[in-house]
Amino acid sequence: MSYDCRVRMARRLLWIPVVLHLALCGIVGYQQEGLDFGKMYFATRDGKLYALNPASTEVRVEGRVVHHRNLNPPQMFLLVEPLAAWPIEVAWPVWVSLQVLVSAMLVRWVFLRRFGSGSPPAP
Amino acid sequence: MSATVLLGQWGALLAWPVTAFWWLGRSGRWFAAGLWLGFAISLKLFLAPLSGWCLLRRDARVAVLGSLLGATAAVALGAAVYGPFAYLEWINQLRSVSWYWGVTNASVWGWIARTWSPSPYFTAVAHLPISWVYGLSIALSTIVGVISLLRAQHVDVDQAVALLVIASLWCSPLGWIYYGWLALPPVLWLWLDGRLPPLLVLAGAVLLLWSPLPIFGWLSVRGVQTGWWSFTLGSAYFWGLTAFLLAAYYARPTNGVSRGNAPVSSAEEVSNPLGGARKSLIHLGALQ
Repeated sequence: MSYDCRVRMARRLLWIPVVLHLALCGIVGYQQEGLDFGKMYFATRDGKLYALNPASTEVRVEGRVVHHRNLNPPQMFLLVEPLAAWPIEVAWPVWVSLQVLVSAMLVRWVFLRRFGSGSPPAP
Repeated sequence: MSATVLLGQWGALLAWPVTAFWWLGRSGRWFAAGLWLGFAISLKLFLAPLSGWCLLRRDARVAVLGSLLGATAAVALGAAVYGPFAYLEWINQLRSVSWYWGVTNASVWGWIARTWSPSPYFTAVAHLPISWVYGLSIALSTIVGVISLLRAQHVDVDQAVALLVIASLWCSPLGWIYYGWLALPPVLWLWLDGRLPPLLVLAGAVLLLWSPLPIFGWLSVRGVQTGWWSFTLGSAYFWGLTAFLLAAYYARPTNGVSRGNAPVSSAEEVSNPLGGARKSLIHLGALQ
């Protein structure tokens, strides 16, 4: 196996822990009512934008309870409205997939603008 | 990306209006750029310093008008759907924030809160009076904000937008790391141009990549409960963002000719197809 071939294979293998890590994050987020997305989702679904909801979390600091509340402005919830019609088990993966897709598109857009192709130039 | 997937955050989506502002601005279409900026500011207030930069920049003042219009339109839309009282509720929520110490808060406020005040996850070096914690945070963020604004006056649009977005996050009371996506396009552009100091980029990348690892969470919550941990590696997101702030501040100027107001021309691409990108990629080991 040539050196180039080994380097290419190593680069591809490097993606495995990245994908596994992201999948793990996704599973944890899914099990915890969608965490921050859950706050937005329940707020939109129930029509109570800033009330405590099933995804709200709380911690204690020196005996005082602190609630992590939703801090997004009202117009942001318009983005979540289309998903609020679905159960969170469906809405959450759709939302996260959209974010991953949008992230990849953003990076690809920069490469396209810079090099005229969607990936870094070959050495 | 970990925070985006784990928490379901939307930083990458929000990065598009900021990218539109940057791209339209660098090609001199400041009014349209301002509209996008206003839309982004209406969603995340910490981006407001970018509007201040446009005001200081003589050729970009029309962007301030655009940003006012963009923000007003977005707020009007929200008020039409959810009612104006929803905005009063939102302002009340913002005023009730006290969780600056959050692990993913990469701003100087987060670092100071973790290090000098009580928090559920971190051990403070010492407990300072809350007025000192706020005072120190306000002082540092003001100094860095002003220095960044002054620096942005003398550099091209690419560097200025990268610097100001990172500085805005760094100075914001809640500078969650997943909003780092907002700075990614101009930072990536500078890096591909070979303009960012490689060592700072490497340090920033290592610090940002180490934080989402499970071992980091374990060490922070159950393991290393010391003040110095909170001060140093426990606040890795803060140090990573600081490294990128310095990288954007010290980015090298373009090769004598600022192309801050114009996209790269096709002729330039032909004559220099890789620019500094290949050099940067090689330096960081991305290419052999």
